[in-house]
Amino acid sequence: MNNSLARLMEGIVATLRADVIPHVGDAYARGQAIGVIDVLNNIAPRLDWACGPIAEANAARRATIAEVRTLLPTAPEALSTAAADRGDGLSSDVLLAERDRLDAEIAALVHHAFGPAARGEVEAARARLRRHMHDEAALEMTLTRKPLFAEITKGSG
Amino acid sequence: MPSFDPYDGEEIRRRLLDFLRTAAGPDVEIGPLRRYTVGFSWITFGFSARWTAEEGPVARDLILRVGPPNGIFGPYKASPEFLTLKSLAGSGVPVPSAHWYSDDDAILGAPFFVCDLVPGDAPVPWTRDGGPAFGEEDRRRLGGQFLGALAALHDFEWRGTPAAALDGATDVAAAAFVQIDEWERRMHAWSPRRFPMLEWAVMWFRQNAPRAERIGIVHGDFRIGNFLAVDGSITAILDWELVHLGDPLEDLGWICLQAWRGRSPYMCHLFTREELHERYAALTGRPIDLAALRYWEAFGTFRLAVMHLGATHCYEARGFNDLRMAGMGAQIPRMLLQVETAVERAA
Repeated sequence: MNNSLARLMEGIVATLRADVIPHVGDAYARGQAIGVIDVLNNIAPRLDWACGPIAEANAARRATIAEVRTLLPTAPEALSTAAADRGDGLSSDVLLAERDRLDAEIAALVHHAFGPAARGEVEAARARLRRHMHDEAALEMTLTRKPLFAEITKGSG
Repeated sequence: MPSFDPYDGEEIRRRLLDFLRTAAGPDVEIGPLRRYTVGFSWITFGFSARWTAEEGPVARDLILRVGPPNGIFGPYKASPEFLTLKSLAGSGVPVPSAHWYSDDDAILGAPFFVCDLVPGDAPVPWTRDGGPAFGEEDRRRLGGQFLGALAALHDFEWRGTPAAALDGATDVAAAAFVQIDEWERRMHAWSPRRFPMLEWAVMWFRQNAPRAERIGIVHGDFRIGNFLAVDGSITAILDWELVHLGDPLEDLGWICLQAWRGRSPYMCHLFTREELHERYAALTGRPIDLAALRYWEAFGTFRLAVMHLGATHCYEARGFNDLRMAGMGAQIPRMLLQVETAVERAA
């Protein structure tokens, strides 16, 4: 997911309050929708993104960076050094910030590797970056469900 | 500070009436606003109006479209769509008659325009089982009209019309680069997180940008979902918010996106790739550069991925509570894989 958990919860509650509940004609159904808000309000402070998968994905990012730097010795250095995130005791906020830093570094390596200044084992570096980008998106897809746009558009399930 | 609350229909109606008393005439009367649920971007209301024009009393069913400040492509301007509709009136492109517009936030709290209500339903690309959106007869008929409208748009002589003021490129060598710059800018504005797959795609687009054969009006979102039809006949092409001057092949590439056909073999559920090539070439007298078309299909897929970033951003940072935006944010991995496939096919 690319929206923060806190904002997702806030938006869901706001949508139920402003867009859904006022238009529900049945009192019991309205009460159930308010019950959803009640439950969300109570589980929201207890929720966080699962840290293990983020830490694993960050480890994969570091491995890619290390391999590509070996293949392209003249690649520009990272702007800041990597923090260790083994996942133990770290919040998802810290891990996601590190994800963003690592993605920025990989993006910089992509610009170097696929640009005219790349020196070294350029084709191998490009292939490694391509594999990483594909594998990361494919892994995320295992957690991504088919969108319900047809039902959303028609307003019926 | 101007504000716009899409749920406060009475306040919007009051402000609209004030505006129309100057624009249409002091005797104008309007009915209540009805909000439509269609569209991911502009907010659409229907209303009836009566006023006295130069030719006499007028009674019309009208559409008010408002670009919300926190919407996916905000901040908006109404003038490009209005100027385009005005320019295309009476051409081979079926469009609603446009009446008034303003980019001044002080009037309704957001840019807006008013046009005629055109009868029809907007078929959407998303079917519950991923199957066909049309029966065979409708598919053929609508497909022919859809391409007829597109060819008329691209052949339209825009020079000397209000559409000449549209953004975009008038230089055939710059058309692709103008679009790359624009969507790369939006990508970075909407996402502080860098997506290496998208950065890679941008590099490929820069390194392989085609030279346009001509410059035309590019609709920018010409697809199923953005036309109205009645009984198998297209009554209007809608949603011109991304209109610009550029390479017409950009629209053809957009039509071919995976997102508009699901599992259907038909582009936009309307025609095969081959039918698209043959019919467009026959209508315009211009054979399609297939390599350039694949380029624009890949670029369109990238552009749609960036739109998903925009949806994520307007939900996360601009207080737009439409849960469809959060839903689009959840689909970014799917979009990244589609970008990869589309660029590989174009390379």
